[in-house]
Amino acid sequence: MEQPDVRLERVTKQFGDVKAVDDLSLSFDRGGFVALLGPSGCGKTTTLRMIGGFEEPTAGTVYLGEQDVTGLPPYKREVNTVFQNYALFPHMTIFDNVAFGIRQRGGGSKHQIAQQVGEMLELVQLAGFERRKPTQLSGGQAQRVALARALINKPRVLLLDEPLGALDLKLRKQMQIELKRIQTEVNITFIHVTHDQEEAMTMADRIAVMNQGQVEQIGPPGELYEQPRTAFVAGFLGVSNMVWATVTGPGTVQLHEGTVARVPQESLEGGHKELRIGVRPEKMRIVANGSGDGAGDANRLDGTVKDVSYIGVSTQYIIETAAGDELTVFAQNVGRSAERAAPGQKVGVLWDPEHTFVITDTREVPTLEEQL
Amino acid sequence: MAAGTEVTQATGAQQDTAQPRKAPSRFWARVRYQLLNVFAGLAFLYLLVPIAVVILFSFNDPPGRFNFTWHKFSTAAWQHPFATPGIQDAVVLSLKIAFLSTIIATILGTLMALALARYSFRGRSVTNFVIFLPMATPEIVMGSSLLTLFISISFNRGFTTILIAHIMFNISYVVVTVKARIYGFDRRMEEAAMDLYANEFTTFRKITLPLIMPGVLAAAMLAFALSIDDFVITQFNAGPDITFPLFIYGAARTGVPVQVNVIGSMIFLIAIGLMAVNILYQNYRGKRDAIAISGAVRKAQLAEAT
Repeated sequence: MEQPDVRLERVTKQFGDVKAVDDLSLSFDRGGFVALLGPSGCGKTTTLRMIGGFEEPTAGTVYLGEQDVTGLPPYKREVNTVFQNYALFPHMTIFDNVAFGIRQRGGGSKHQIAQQVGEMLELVQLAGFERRKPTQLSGGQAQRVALARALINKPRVLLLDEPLGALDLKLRKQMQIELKRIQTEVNITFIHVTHDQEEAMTMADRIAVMNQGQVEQIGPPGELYEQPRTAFVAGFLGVSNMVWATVTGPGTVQLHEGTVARVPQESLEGGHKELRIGVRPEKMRIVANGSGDGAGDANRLDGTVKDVSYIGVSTQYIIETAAGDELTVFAQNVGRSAERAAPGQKVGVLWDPEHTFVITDTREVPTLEEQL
Repeated sequence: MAAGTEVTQATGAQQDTAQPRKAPSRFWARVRYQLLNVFAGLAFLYLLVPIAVVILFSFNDPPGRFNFTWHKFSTAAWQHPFATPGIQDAVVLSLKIAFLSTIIATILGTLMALALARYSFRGRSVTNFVIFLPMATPEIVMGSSLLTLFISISFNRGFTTILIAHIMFNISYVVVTVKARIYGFDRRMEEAAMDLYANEFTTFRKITLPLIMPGVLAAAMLAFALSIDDFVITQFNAGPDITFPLFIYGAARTGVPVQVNVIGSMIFLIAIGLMAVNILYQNYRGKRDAIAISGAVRKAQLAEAT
């Protein structure tokens, strides 16, 4: 197997009494786009800064390729960073900003430098901006300059610290696609720190969800979303319904109010007795009370509609079960609006067993506040 | 139609009744507005009249030795600004002291400001307080204590002691001025430079220093101004040497020569000239950037069109 581009080995970073990063081991493959995702204070930025050389780990080792770079200053690492708020040099033109890195490394003649800067500005679609000053750029343009300034050095790894945080929603969407395009074009490993799960899922081919200085789960976005292993991941990536259950046999569990549900057999292999099962809201559908309509192999849970909100493409239902659990269900608005269930109505909720995921850890789901 | 006219008439009548109440308020608003101008004018007058008098009297041909009453217009003093014995030495000494103390105090003060603003170390708050002391202590106390110190270590007063004294009080002002600039400084700028392969020294030279330069220059100008007109502390520690302020003080007892006004006016005019050059340069730079941008935009538009 190919050597990973960046490897963190049992890295810990302590600030006073606080462990920002706690015994973290993580490796990043060559050419990948990895997102470090988590709430603020989860240690994702500290992790990034340790790879960049702006923080020294309290313990552990950072490798770039095969080289141990722990203790090396940033200017001796083949890594470049796109900073939050960009940190463009305000007293230099865009040209001098972008050329800074190659000039420091003594990179070539005046003509060669000009050519490289031109190519880079073309890549980020800012050709012709060479003589402007950073204060004369919009947020999106500054972002592109920051990207060009880092990429021109052809680093082994590009670190992005919440690069889109300061942009408005529309521009952010646009830049997400843009960043992904650039990454494919230059084929450099991108490590991207963000607290925005949608941003992470749109761009990254692997996401590492971080919490309290540790990685909860790492994998492709689809896997993390469909098969979260911890309540934190399930709760942080999108909305999920989770209820406690007891294992009753191979591939079957009993929910606490008595309903029996089937789950993928292999998900119970851990041998746990008490666990939670979860389903994503869009994987559930609502049927009228009493009707076994379309049930087939599906699991079924009965409840009362508590709230209905119409969101355009879909309708969001809150269903309260007999045990008092609240389930969120997203229904595509394909039918007519008259067919929607009304609050107070008794309904059944159906879902396929294979869409069920099992959570064996007992920690609570992060609240909205913790996510922010 | 008729109803319409009635309505307008009615509102017209209302306006009529409102008018007498409104008119004085508008009148007073105008008065208040003008009053502001008057006050502003008075404030400027207050600031500028003394300077104007200094310049005016530099063209005087006083009847006696004291240049206190207007007698006759003359440019004699401007033609021979150093005609009065001793004045040239005094001005040269003052300039020497001002330049040296400014350079040394600016370098030391900037480095201290960086240390104080950037790093937390044992004794930082004490240092901050000690830095502030020379500004808070009355000059007369500072001057006399310094003299006591120099006498007790039997250090001869003269050029060196004046320089030491000036550097001492200048450092405080430099530290305070530069520190204010550093606090507004984004540390990520330096991280970005180091990220782009600049080592610590290059980062300081290419990023930190240029960005705090306005603060450093302001501090240097302040230090120069403080040094060149300091009297109290210099008086105590000058020994036999005579700076320009000391010269004027000494001269005032036997007669103030017109040359004092001439040199005072020169200092003022040079300062004004430097400021004007600075403003013109800033304007030029702004315009040059604007031209560069419109050029770039046009180029981009052309590229798009083709």
